[in-house]
Amino acid sequence: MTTLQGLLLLLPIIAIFALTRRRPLGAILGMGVFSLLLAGVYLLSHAPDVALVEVAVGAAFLAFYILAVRKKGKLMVIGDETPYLFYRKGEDVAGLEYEILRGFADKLGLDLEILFVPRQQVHKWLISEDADIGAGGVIPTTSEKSNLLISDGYLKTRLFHISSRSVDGRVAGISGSHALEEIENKNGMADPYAYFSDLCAGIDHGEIANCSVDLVRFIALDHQALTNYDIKRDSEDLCYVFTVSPGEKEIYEELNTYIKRLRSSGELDTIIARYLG
Amino acid sequence: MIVRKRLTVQNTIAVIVALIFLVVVLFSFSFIGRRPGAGEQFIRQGVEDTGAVNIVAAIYLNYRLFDTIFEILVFALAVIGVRFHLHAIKDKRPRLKEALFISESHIVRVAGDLLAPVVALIGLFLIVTGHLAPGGGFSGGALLGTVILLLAVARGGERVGRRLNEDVVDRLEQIFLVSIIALSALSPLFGRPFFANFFPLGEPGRLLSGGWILLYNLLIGGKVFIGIWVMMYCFIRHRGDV
Amino acid sequence: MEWLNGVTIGVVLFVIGLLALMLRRDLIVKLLGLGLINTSVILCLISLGYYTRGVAPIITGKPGQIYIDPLPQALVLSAIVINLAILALSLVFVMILVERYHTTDSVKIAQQVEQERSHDQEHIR
Repeated sequence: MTTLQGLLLLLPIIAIFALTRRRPLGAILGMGVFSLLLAGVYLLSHAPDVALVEVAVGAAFLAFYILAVRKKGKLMVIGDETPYLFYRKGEDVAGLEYEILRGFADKLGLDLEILFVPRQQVHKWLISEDADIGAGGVIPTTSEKSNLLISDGYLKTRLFHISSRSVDGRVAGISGSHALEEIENKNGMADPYAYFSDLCAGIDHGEIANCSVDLVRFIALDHQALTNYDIKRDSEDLCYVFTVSPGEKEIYEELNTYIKRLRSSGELDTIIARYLG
Repeated sequence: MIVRKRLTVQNTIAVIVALIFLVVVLFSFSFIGRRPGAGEQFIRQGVEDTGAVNIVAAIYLNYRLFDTIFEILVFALAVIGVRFHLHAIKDKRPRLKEALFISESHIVRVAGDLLAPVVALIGLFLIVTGHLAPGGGFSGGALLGTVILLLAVARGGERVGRRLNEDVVDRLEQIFLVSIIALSALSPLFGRPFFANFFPLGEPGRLLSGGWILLYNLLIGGKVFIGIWVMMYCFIRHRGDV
Repeated sequence: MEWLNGVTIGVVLFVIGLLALMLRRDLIVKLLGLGLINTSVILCLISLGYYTRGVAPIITGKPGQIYIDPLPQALVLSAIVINLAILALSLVFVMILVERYHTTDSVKIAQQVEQERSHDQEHIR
């Protein structure tokens, strides 16, 4: 058996191996190897011109396919900034939720893409399926009437109602529920405190009469500014969750199993300890 | 359930048809190897007729230039199609600066910088010596296109894309395409039929030989280089990143 | 081992590509199968001109050498380029389908198209 015959025998084996891959990326890489071997076959068949063209075309082709396929492999996460959970840190993003999502995206083999938007828009983005996962300290309140998919909770939390003793003013509801904000928006109350930093500033200036905040935001609030406020702790036990776009049932199930596995392996506790002490 | 059953039946039929095809075709191929007369004429007269040592290049760009020009037209059409349709499906998502994280690896960047000039030189060499040795416009041009991809991977697609002025690239592509077609139509002015070489043949084996094969290799190389890069840049821009 | 040559392997590759085209539901794998079919035909053509004791058709002027038939090789160069062009274009069409239906599964896309059509017909009524 000559070298040429050995290479020829390899060709169908690699072709079958490549075209039976479940993920398209595996198939593409397999066909890249196939193309290289084929160039070798051409060279041994005394067709060096064709071999050179095959090498060049194979390289260009691999690039086209990979560029086209990995377009699909993007995990679009949308949310607003939340202290400890999901915040900007210089050029990068950090936080508890970010670490969970990062690990999740790595497990699925997807690129993580993050977009920070005001809280009210998160719901719209998820419903229109422009984003896959909503993050940023989301709590499923009883008023949640949206058709978003809600994942398992990963951290226990509480609501804190803050009411001013001196000011009669706006009601701001930074409570973590997308749907709640939607209802408030429909009632014509444009919320000027779309971002958490705006809320902090509002409390500093004493503009806010009432607001509800969740645990991490409450911890992050400046306690000096809260001296003028009455603080009531809600007795209801809640959990932080992720919201998933209604079209992404598979991502939803994968996310639930991922969180379950993180909890059972104790990894979740170490991440929580790193961010919340 | 019914759908699944129908699919299974379809798959079985498909496998049977493919196997029948395999058997029929395999047994109908009984000839292989050298048959006298098939390409003898090109081997015997090729150097004398065209002045090129590489007979494949001689056939590709002299005897059967007509086929090659239409192949280049198909390629140009594909480039136009890719550009047109990828522009039509513009990404709906607004892109924020902070939403994109480009991971930059030092190893990739250094390797890209080191390899790019070497591969570019090899591509140019393949184009220029297409009539003397294996190579030619198409393989050299495609290799040059992949050099740009290498740079894009190392430095980021946007940064490389900004360097190439889009208007200039468009104009160059048009010039290459038009001159490829126009050159073949100039032959009657020199008393030769259409698609026939009117350049001096030169001494076979020298760089300046083979009539217009060298010129055609350069033109096709440029055209393919720009075409591959434009397609690749469309894919990169559609993804938003390399 | 006479039977193990490029032509037989080419036919086998053709059948593998055909099967991938018919059995796999992923559109991108289908495109790869289409490319494999094209490649197999090219391999057949190249192997038809192959001759064990021949050399590549680059005339060196040495006496007594038998050159490989250059005609299939020159023919095949155009085929490879056109293969690249056509598959790049159809890749873009697959991307348009993905953009619209969010899947590369041909059966799912067919079902969605069917649903859209029935929906449209109800709308017209």
